[in-house]
Amino acid sequence: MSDPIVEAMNVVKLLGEGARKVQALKGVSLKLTGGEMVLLMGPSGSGKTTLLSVLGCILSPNEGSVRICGHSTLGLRAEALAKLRLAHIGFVFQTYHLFPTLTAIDNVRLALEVGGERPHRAVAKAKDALALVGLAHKIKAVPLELSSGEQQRVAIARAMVGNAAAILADEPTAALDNENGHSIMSLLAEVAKAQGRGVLVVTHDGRTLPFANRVVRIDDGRIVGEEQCIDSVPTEETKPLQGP
Amino acid sequence: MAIDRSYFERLGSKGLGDTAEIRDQRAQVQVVTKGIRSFTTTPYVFAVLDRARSYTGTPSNKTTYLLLHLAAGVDVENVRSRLTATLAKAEVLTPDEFRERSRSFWLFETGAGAALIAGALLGMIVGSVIVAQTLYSNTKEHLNEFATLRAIGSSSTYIHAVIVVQALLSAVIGFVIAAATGLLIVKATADTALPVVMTPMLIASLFLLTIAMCIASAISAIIQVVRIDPATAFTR
Repeated sequence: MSDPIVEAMNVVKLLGEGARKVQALKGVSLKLTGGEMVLLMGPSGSGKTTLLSVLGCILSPNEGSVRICGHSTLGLRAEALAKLRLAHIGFVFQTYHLFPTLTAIDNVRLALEVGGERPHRAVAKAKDALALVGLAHKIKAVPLELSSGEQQRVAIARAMVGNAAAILADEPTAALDNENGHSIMSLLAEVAKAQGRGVLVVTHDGRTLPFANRVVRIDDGRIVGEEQCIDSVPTEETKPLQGP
Repeated sequence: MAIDRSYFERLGSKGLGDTAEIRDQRAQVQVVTKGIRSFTTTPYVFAVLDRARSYTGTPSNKTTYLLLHLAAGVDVENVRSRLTATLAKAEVLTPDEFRERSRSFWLFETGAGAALIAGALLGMIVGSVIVAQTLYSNTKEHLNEFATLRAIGSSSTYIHAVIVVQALLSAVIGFVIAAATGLLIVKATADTALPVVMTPMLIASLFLLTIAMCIASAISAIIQVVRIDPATAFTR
């Protein structure tokens, strides 16, 4: 088995202040390796998104450790964590979080430009990323001119464009209809399979199960189950993606 | 006598050849100047020395100012010290010193100067507050976007740069509008008794001041962005 891209060991995370402080994660351990698509499932308030935030270096654990591509996050400050995110992690959000006044290509290239990529190279890479998610013909469209599914594809292109080893997606199908949800999950499965990236999808949507290599169940801040899937269902007629 | 064309109306003169009365003495406009104006509300009237003494009732042994032209190559300081030694009650000033004295008097020792300085300060404060308020509101309105930027790995320096660029844009746009308005005023007042003057150096200084004000105004917005928690990208 290859080295994990993201690894959490006995992570404890406290949220809130004073009397409202709660233990959102109670000693969680989880590994994500390249080429696999893992679903993190659990009821509302179970700690899914908190775990995703900790794995994505957005929240720091109170106890335990997190390693990203071999780098420990222990003791890192906000700027160093941001660098780690930029280098190794791509995020896909439930409501896309695209910049409404920017075109698809500008939304994608922004993820490179914040890291100091030169504009002409960022544009070329953003074009490639949009082509990979099937939006080569809509690079000049602003989010309002795109369907929900297309917007989520742009968000996936943005997450992929920096060659992040891990893609962390928070309920990526929650705002989508059945067809678009299926299409997005197919795309994420392809990203994992064809590009060797680790994809972790937080979801409570049962329709996403057939796409997973592994399903991790969380409840009340603890991992309560893990299932290996024999064979994830592949995809509709999406074109195979090429590796980075 | 000689008067400036900008004072025709105030002096009730019809221009060259017109006659008037000064202290019961007949005076005729024989020369008309352009652009020789007083900073005060009292117009200048030029006349040869004896007539000027006569119009103003100044005895021949009294003088307010004497203008000395020195020949080329003469040591100014030497002349000044000799004059000071000879004329005990006189003050001897070079043109630069006289100009500075006048400017300083009008700016710091009169109500006009105080009003001007107070107006300028007020303009700076109001301008800074408006830009700060605009940037603050704009940043607050787009906190979600800033949180997303932070979540995808943007450094705080990049985010600060975004806000500073907005401040610079405000500065440039505001300055262009203000400079255009100012130049119109310069043109409109060019032939009046109180022309507004804008030198290239003044324009450049004002531009730099505007830039500095707008960047300082960005501080409140930057402080707001510093507090952004990228985790909010997952909770909306």
